Amino acid sequence: MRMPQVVDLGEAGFLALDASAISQKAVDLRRGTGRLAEDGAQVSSGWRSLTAVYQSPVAPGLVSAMEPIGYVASGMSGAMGPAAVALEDYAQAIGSLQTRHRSIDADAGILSQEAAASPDWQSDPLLLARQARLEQSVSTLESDFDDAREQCVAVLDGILVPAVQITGSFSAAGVGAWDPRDLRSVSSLDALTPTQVNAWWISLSPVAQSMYLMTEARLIGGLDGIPSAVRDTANRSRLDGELARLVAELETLRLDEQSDSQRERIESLEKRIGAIRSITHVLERGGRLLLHFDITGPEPLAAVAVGDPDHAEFVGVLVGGKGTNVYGGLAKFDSSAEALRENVEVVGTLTEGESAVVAWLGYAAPSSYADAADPSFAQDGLFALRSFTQGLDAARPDGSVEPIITVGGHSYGALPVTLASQLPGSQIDNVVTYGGPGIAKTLPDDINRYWMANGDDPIRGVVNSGWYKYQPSTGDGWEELTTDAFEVDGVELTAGKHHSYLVEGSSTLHNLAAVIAGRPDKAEPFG
Amino acid sequence: MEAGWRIDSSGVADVLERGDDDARLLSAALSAVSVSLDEATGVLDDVVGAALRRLHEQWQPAASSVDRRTVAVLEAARTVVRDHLVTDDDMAARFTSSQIGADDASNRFAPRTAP
Repeated sequence: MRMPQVVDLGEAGFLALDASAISQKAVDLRRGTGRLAEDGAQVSSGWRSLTAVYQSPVAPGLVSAMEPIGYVASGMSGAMGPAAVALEDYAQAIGSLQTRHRSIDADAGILSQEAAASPDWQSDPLLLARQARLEQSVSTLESDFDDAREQCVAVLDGILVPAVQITGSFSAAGVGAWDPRDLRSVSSLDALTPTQVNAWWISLSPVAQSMYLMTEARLIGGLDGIPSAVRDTANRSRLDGELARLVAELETLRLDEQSDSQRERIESLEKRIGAIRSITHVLERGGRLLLHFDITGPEPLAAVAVGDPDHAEFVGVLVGGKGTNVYGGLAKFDSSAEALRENVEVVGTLTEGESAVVAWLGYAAPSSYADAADPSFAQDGLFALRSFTQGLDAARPDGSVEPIITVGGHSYGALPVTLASQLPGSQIDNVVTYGGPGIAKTLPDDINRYWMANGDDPIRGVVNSGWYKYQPSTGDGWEELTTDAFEVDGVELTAGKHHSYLVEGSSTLHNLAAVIAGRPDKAEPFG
Repeated sequence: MEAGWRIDSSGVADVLERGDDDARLLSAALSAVSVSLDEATGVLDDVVGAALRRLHEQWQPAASSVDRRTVAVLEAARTVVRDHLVTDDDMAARFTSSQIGADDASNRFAPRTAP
């Protein structure tokens, strides 16, 4: 008697899989990643004993250079945890599907036998109903297999494996390639002028430079006089590690009930994490150099260049005022720098690369109107700004022309800008203040100076009050530029409004761009 | 203030040797995970296997970066210390006999401590 095939079980893909083998590989993976975390931690912790037997300015850096190994290995291990779980779940799902398949197969066999014994089984409603249920079960098996695969793939594709930054190469190192007399401690480097820093840096062998990049990235990234591309590499190399460290601390703090000091710390961590995310977001726009990155102080500080200031002939440095901070304001500040640079190219008929504009948040700007009445924020920032502009001049490759450096100060930023310009050797060629409540009165004669003030700028309410007693005046060599609408080459520029001066298509943006481009004759004077 | 300069050469050799051992273990652990991923891919179907292969492709450069950085730091330390010793010997010759073995951290090229 030939048995009819009443249920087609098809070619179920999961039947070819060995669930216990998948499960075993998941176990192997889990075991391997566990060892990885331990071995990574051992590398970092064991290496710390170096400082007990070797002391020199570079020794702490050598130790800190190994620190990321521990936490990155731990991160890699952690990333693989979900993969092992997903594979174990998948193995379990496959095993379950295979069991269900066997059960359906057995039921189908019984049904076939009964159908063979009943020639008109196809008119038997009970047998037909059982056949339909079995076919439904087969269909469910297939869709469950698809679901199990999808779930596993989604987990695996969602895993991000952290990596450690590699900067520089040590393969060429040999006796004499690294002269310890080149080594300088952080404090001794901090005491050098940007010109001296640059001279020291270019005197180092490539090996020594790589060494500093790897072991002292924070120092190198913040040193004025170091080439911009090097600073960018150093600063970028720290972003992921700092973010991971801060996030881990924040998550730990959030686990417990918090004291006042812990709440303060959480706020501070959130500010720093926000700053790093903001910087990362801006860098993703492309064509940027991260010239400064410091999260050690009360306020995160940063400087982002649009373009390469070391090779540009015309360099603008924008300094913000009240409320300008890295975590909340960098994105907008950077957009203004980009718009300004585009205008600089147009106004100066420059090619790409001939100009650069830096969004400089290298000082802690006041965060409130009350703080804005306090000149100490500007006094704290003026030396940093002077050092930064000196660094722009010093870091240029040999043989390149001196840059024309224009510093633009918005609102409260007018004060640190003019104060820094007063200092000898600032290398600043032009100063432009816009929407400033006041300035430092006496600027060196060789600095060109311009100001803009919108008619409806609320800043006018504090002009001449408190310590804002000095205002730009033509008698002191200042030239006022218009904020009114005017036409340039057939294009109507809008009037500057309120406290915003770097709005695209505005007369104020054009005027600042003209000064930065070395074409103040293309700026529209007031009146 | 300048950081002090001091080197215990045999101590450094021990730390470097242990560092090499630890680096080898770490490298082996990284390779073991890679082998596990490879073997797991071999027992999977095409769809999940492809996803695991993508993860493996992400894993390899990350593992390589850890390996390379570990070796780079060890090599950097070896080079720095070796050159330090060369310079140190050179400079030590200029000290008087009473200064040999002195442990004066303020002296930039103070003779290293005796092993």
